[in-house]
Amino acid sequence: MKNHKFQQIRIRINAPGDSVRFAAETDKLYAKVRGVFASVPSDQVLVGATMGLKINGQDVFDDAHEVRMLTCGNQVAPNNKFFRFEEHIEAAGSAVEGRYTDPRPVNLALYPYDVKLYLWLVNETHPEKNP
Amino acid sequence: MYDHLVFIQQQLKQRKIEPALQQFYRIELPVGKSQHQFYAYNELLFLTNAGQLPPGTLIQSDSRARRIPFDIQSQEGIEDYTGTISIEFPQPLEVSTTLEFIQIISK
Amino acid sequence: MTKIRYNIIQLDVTEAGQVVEIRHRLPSNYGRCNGYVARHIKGISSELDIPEIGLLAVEFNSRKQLFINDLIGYEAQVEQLPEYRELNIPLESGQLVTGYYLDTQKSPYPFVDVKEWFRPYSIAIYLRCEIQNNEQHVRSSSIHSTTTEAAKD
Repeated sequence: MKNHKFQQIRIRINAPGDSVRFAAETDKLYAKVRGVFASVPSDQVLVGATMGLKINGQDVFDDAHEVRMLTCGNQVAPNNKFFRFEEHIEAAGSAVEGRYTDPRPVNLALYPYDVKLYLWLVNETHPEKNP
Repeated sequence: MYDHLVFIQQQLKQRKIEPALQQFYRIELPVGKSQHQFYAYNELLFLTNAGQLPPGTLIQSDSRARRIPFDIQSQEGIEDYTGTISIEFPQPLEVSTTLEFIQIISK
Repeated sequence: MTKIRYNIIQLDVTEAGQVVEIRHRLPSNYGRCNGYVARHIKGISSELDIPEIGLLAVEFNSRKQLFINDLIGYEAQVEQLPEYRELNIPLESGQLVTGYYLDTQKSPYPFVDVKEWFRPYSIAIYLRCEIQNNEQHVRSSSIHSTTTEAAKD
């Protein structure tokens, strides 16, 4: 059985200021969520964008949590891009729920766009090893 | 008017600080001074004459910062400062000014 | 099992040189604060990084412990993932987080006063806290597929 999977959740943002709820389910073949990484197509929509997240009924981030806290630039090595959870967050088919709020930037040409939320799913319990 | 000393005693008790010494402490600043910095580590300095400082004066310390407002004639509340303390006046002083504190040195 | 929550203190700076006081009550079930990040979130726009826009002081447990004296800068581009700085503060239930943020921005233009140049902005302090919680997880079984739903409210 594979030990790692990067599961993608896409959230469509149609207009400035949209506040979009999303819901998904983690792959049931993986035991825990080790980390999360959010990707947006432009830095202009990053400043002030927020994302709340709940996994398996557990509040992970409040709705006011900035997306910037969950992302980084292209110069960062792939294995270091993820925000890692310190605590155990159960995957194994858990419900993933959240809300993304767009910050109303001035550039309307950016819309619509997709936010991609990557969940790093793993099976082993020790977090030291990278994929 | 409330009693500064009673207030300070309550503060120390609430914050579980045991004083080794409590005394008055003054700093005199001459005409022309626009900034003064001094140190108060392992102690608390309660500023007792904030109302006599020029409006716009900034008092900054490791724990607290305060800008003396323009619209308050009298100031009863006192606040404490610790660590590196700097006083910045909006303009160089036109008259010599004294900063008055109650100094608490903790055990 | 220990759970982690991220508590956010947002401060709005509306004047140049402003002292913004912090008075924030953490939820009473938080047992320990083990990390923090403080950063500019919106309002400032610059093509260059600014090493210091303000100074931050944070005390815990209703002024019993001064733990954070830090400066906050501005990042022009998205680079590293923000890293939490380590703390280890046992929290007394229901006590206040206090302190201040002081704006220290300088005008980049020699003949423009900072008060004219200044624009309001916000900063946020993220506190990473542990909750001691023995509750069993309740798994939601009502959601089975990836869906998105626009909720404009």
